[in-house]
Amino acid sequence: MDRPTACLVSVPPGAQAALFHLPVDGAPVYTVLDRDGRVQTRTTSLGVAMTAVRHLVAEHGEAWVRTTDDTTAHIGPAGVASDTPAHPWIRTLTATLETSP
Amino acid sequence: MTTTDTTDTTTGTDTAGATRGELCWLPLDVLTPHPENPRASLGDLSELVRSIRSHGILEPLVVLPADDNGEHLLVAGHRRHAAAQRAGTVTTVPVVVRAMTPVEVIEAMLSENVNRSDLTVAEEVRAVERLMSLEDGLTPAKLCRRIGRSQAWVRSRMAVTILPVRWRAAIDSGELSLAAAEAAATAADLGPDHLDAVCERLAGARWGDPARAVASYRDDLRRDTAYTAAVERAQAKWATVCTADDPPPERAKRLGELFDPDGCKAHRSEPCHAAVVRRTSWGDGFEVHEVCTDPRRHHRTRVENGNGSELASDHTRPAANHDDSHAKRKGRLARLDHAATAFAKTRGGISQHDLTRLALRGLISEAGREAVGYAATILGYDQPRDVTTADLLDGADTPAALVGVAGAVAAGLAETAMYWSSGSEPCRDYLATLTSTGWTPDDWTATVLARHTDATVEDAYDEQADADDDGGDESDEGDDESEEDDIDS
Repeated sequence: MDRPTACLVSVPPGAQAALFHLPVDGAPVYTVLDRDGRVQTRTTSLGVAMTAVRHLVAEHGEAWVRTTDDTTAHIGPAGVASDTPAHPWIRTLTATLETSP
Repeated sequence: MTTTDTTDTTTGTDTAGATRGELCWLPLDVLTPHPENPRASLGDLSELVRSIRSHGILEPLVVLPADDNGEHLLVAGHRRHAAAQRAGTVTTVPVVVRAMTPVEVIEAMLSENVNRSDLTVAEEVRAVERLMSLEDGLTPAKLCRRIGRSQAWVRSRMAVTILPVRWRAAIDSGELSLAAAEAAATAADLGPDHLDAVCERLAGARWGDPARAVASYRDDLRRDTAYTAAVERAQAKWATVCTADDPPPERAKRLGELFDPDGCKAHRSEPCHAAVVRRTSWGDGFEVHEVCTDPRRHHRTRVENGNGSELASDHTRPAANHDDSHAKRKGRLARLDHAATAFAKTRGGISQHDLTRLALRGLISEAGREAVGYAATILGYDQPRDVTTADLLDGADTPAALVGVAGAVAAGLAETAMYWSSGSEPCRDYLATLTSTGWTPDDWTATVLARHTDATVEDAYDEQADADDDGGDESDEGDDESEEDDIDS
């Protein structure tokens, strides 16, 4: 049986998978979590979140970013994985991580 | 301390002393630029080279203790080091050898350059990124304290890291200001394409508030999305849809201009029915109008000839429901005619009791809010301001009760009149009624009444004078002319 990896990989440790991603009003808030499920940074700036992600990836090998509408991205050495890869902010994150040094 | 005074320093590579952070002299060739130096370009060194040739290096460089190869990595003084090499006259330089952690090294390098505003924005961004990646749990708040910059400064440098490489380079070249880049970074949630477009828009706009420009971009995007969805909905619903990309349909008219609501519904099955979806730069970003693309199809003559639609606009308008002014007038005339007949009858007409009821209820209903409030006060309501005419009439079932309410309302009207016409008849009646029941007028009322009395007397004199003037107009005119002649002469 195939494992639903795409759904599981983007769920941060200690969190539940979201079935629906309802749009929320206002600017999204990005929460960066480490591999223990601890919140490292909570910010409205994806740039600030990405700086924390870079550190976590360098230090622990992986990190998760979750937004207010529960869309989540997993960032590891292999890149960005998500069950909603077409979500705009995840595409921005992917594009920036791919092109940045 | 004069660092050029060699008697105050040690020479050679005294590593033990160096690790304590002591001043010493080291050969230039054992110093190596630090690879993590945030300053990518050292800039123009010619002035510094001339200074070093003349005076030597006045301030000591800061270096790390020697590594396995005996080389010292520079922490502070990269420009002086490069200039000394280029000068060629200096073989040893004053240094402070200090053991530092990697984080401390970058902090020191960043602090040294940042506080002099020598670094480009891209160099600052890289340095902040590097610092954040070096130490666990280093938040922007902690970092700003350590490098002596505001939290906003640190956050702005971190925020722009989300921008594509091209636009980060544009910050250095001046094509994109830091404020604009920071504002553009807030559009990261829209996706890379939109992020690029926002940067493009901000780079092109030299003036204006970048944050407002980004908000405007978001609004445009929201309206564009809403317009696209509206077009899709219209295309699913109607056979003919004219969008903003299509040429506007000629001779089309909105259905509301041609038909009543029933006719508009019936028109949907007509072949000339169409929906027009227009873009707007306000509100939801679109407008949908149902139109008739061939209004002449519904013209009366074509309908009569069997060449047009049954929905002739001038045939379908039911006067009874919508244009009922004629019927209304007819009904009113009939009522007035009957009322005139009933008034004229001495027997079998409107009774005195009914007339009194109509009169009093009419008086109460027409009273203004202020008069009703006063009446409610007189009648002892708890919250007189909240009482309405309906409340007053609610308990007035008997003629006596109705008279009581109407009297209170009349008193309220008189009280209201006190402030605009103290001499009005109802007002004087009201005051006389109060006085007859033992009320003594207060000072203000007495003054107003006295003023009114004086004014009445003056008015009487004026009227008499006007009457006298009217009688002697001709003589007055003659006097005026003679006065003018006197002036001319």
